[in-house]
Amino acid sequence: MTRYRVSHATRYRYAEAVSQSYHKLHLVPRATARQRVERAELLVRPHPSFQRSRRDFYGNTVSVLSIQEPHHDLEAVLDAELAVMAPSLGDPSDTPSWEFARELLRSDLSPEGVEAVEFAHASPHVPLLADAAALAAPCFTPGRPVLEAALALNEAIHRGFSYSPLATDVSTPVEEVLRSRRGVCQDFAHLMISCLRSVGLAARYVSGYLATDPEPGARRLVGADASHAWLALMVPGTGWVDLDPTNDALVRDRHLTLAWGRDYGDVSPLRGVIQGGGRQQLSVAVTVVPA
Amino acid sequence: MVRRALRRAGRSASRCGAMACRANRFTRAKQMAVTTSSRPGQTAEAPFDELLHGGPAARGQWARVLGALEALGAAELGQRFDEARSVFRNARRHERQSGVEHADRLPELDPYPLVLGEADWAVLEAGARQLARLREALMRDLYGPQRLLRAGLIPPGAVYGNPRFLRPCHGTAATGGVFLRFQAFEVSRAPDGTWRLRRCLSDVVSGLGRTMECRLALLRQLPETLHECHVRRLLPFFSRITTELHAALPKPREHPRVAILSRGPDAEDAHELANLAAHLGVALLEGSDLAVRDGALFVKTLAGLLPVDALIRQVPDIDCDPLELDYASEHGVPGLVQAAHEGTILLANALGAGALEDPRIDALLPELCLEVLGEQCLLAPDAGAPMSLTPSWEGGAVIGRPVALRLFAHAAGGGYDVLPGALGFIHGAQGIRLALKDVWVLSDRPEPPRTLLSPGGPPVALRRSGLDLPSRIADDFFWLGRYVERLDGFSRLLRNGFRRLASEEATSDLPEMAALLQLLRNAGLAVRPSLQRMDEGELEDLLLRESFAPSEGHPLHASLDGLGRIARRLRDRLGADAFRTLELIAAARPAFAARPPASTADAIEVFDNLVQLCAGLHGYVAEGMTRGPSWRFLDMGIRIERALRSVATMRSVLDAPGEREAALLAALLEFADSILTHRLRYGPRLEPAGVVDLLLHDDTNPRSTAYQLLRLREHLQALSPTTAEAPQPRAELRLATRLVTTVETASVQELCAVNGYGHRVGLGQVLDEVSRTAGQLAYEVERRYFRHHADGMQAAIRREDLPT
Repeated sequence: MTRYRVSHATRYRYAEAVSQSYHKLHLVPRATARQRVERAELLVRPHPSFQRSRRDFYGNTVSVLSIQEPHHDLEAVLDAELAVMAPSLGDPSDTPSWEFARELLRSDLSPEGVEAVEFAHASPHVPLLADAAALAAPCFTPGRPVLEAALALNEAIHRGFSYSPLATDVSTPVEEVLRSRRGVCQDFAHLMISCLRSVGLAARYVSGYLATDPEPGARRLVGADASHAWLALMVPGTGWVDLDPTNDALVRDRHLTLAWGRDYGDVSPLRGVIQGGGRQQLSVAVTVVPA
Repeated sequence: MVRRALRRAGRSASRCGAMACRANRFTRAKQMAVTTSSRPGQTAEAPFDELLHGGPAARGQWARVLGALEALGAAELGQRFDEARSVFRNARRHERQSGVEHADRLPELDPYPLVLGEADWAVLEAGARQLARLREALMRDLYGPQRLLRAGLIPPGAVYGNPRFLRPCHGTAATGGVFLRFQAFEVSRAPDGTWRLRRCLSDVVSGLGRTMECRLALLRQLPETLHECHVRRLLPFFSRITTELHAALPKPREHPRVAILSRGPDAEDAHELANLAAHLGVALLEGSDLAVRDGALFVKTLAGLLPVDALIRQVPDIDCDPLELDYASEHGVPGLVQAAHEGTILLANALGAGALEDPRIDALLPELCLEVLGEQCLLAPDAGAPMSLTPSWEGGAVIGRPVALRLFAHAAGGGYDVLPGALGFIHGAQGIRLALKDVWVLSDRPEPPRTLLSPGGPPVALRRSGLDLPSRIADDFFWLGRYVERLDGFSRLLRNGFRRLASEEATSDLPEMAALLQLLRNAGLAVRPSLQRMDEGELEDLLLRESFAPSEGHPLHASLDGLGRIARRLRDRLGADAFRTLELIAAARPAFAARPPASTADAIEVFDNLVQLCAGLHGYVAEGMTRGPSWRFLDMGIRIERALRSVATMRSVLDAPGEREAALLAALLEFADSILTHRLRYGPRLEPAGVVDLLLHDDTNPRSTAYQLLRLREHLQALSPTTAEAPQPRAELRLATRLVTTVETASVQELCAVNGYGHRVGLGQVLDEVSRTAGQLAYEVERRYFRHHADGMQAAIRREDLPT
């Protein structure tokens, strides 16, 4: 197992006072089959007058809070220690055909099978598109093992789309990403989910972090990392397999999971309704270091 | 046999020959001979005939009703039907004006009742009860363990592929033990006589208010018929709703606060919900009236935040919480989903119920009924069979129309109560809904008399209206007062202008004309700067044009619009007569637009009428309203406007006395509606001192400035009395006191003194001071009492850190 310490600080600065605010946070990492949460503390300032945590429909921890005193700044800081191990995956070419995986979604009434159906439909940020299906088609040839096909698609998106942080924002639709062929990790995750669902498979959105190594000889910069997003595909016989189209990689022990859902909207780290505030400035600092 | 029949009613006219024949005996409807005649021995496709099924004689339960109707005589019956229809339609003028015609909100009533006997009703009631129990069980499973999905009874796609399955609501408990407290089912009768389910309502169960309106419309016209025929009463169902809600509240409370959550006065269901709120005796609120604090729901009132125990939800679930559901919704309350998780609020119905309104689920109901309840489904889903036909009253004729019914159920005593009646929908061609219909369920025994006021149970605890008035309502009352008074002032001013145009003297010879024109200009009622130099014809044209042309932002029209808007919002809080008066006032605007008055005489008539209507409202304020906070805010609005107006009038007329001051003073008394008092006091003598005293200082004159200021101070004292804990009077009260003092301490002699340049400087100073301070006071009142509801929560979708 590899251990990491994650610090994720989100700060809002408002031009005018916010008299009261309500927020919903997906900022507490979840335990998974290959991730143990050793410690996780979420601190919000100003001190919320009300704060509750509950499990959401997907098993993530969601925090709901409200602040009832006037404030010009809002800060939410996650401090966590996680232990992660790489998934043990067989040979992708040994997985069942993608058609089998598609058909199984219609008939599998096991808890996992029923759960997978939730991730096979269009969702608010992931429409099912003919263009997405067309993008997937060359990879999903008849009878091809499902994970092999998905890895091919992963590579195709990595190759065919350019990473461009300024090209998109949180609300950029998949159609636009398909047209411009640029985006960031969230866009590529949504795009690939759309491709997979469009050919009839179940794929879910995963939000989290990616541990990076500093350049040889350089010092690690605090806050220079960023939050990350990828996806997981339901593979019969194996379960959910994480794929990262942004880095053309199977996910190993450097991807730290925060939460998952149908798309970004289900797990956005911080959203809110505020009264007042005027213009607002956002800054985010993420640091992931081996612990 | 020569069949006489009816005008073709869509696809369904064929079987109604005999029906019309029967109906004709008592309606003398205008009818056309029809060459087609229905074949004996119906085909499977021929619709069921509610009136005549099974033979030429009317079906049993109808005989009683037809007999009673016939006894009235054809002419009388026709008149009453038409009356019921026009009353129903008139009550819905706003909805037609708004241009929204939702199928549920049809403005038309088909006054011919649909009659159901005990046998039919037994099936419908049992069927509705069964469906209600079944769907409650489905909801409980869907938002809980989801066993039905794993058991293969509901395909997972029917839930997970449905955007109305609200994931954030999964895991909420049913506060009060029931998720779907209200349910409705639309049914129709197939040709084989069985009832079939067409649609289920689980989220926003609308139409209860409508059903009551249809019944009231007929009760008004046919009270004896309903009684003689033993038509089951609807009111006990309504009374029990409140009782059951109170029994199910999360926290027992002596005075539980129950409210209907609505989408506001501009939504198409505003009228219905105002009626429903009145019938249930609960408040009608909007999302902006409410706030979640510490996981519980509160209403923003004059006394601060007060807890709310239950919401009858008439806003779609997806719109109920911008934090967790639709970010863009304007009708919700941020944090409501969390409150549902906390179990602090009873939501009727629970959030997420919209997921059940899915035809895929409806199609599965018979199977689910067997599996979940172990019972045969009594109301199987419809498979496109034609609806049955029932007599419909149209333009004096009776014709057969397809009909569907909406049945209502509410949770009671561990099961469900079913309303012994229904909302009928008359259909036209292509399944379009044409009209609503009252449905009479006949009982073999007379109905026990009961009214809304005597639901039984423990004696009511006595209450007085207090400060738990929602801030928004107080705000609306305040502005109602301001608009009424403004409108009154504008109307009087314009009437004075037109009257002078109609006088024998040339207007240019009238000394007060300049002052009058000045007032018109100051009020924004006439914009041309050089009115004085116009001849009479030009002036008349100008005043007519400016008064009645629908120009944007014209103060007269703005007041009319404001009144109309507020009247709609306060509909459930105003007496019926006051509301009708407001409707009449609001109707003036479209009337101008349609036919602008073309002469001075017409204009005078219009303003006479408006002044009279305003007087009616003032009468209602003075005599018809309880002296609670609503009345205080309304009256404060009136007083502030009237004080401002009295000051402005004196300022323009008295500032610089000329040679003909007596004429000016007379006009001033006329503008201030105080001629008579002055004459009684001073006879024909007109001196500035007497006039100033009467109009400024005299607190016995309800038109004087002092009178308005004293009333204002009284209201503010009553609303927030100084106490031992808060000895310092609040800002608005200090301002009121300052106003009263300013006027009281000004000496009449000094005010009337004219300086070397011919101006009454002292008077000008005092009047300006009053005008400025009164404006400040209005601002303080708004800030103190209405602010927290006024600046609404803006739903901001946070632009969160972009994951890379």
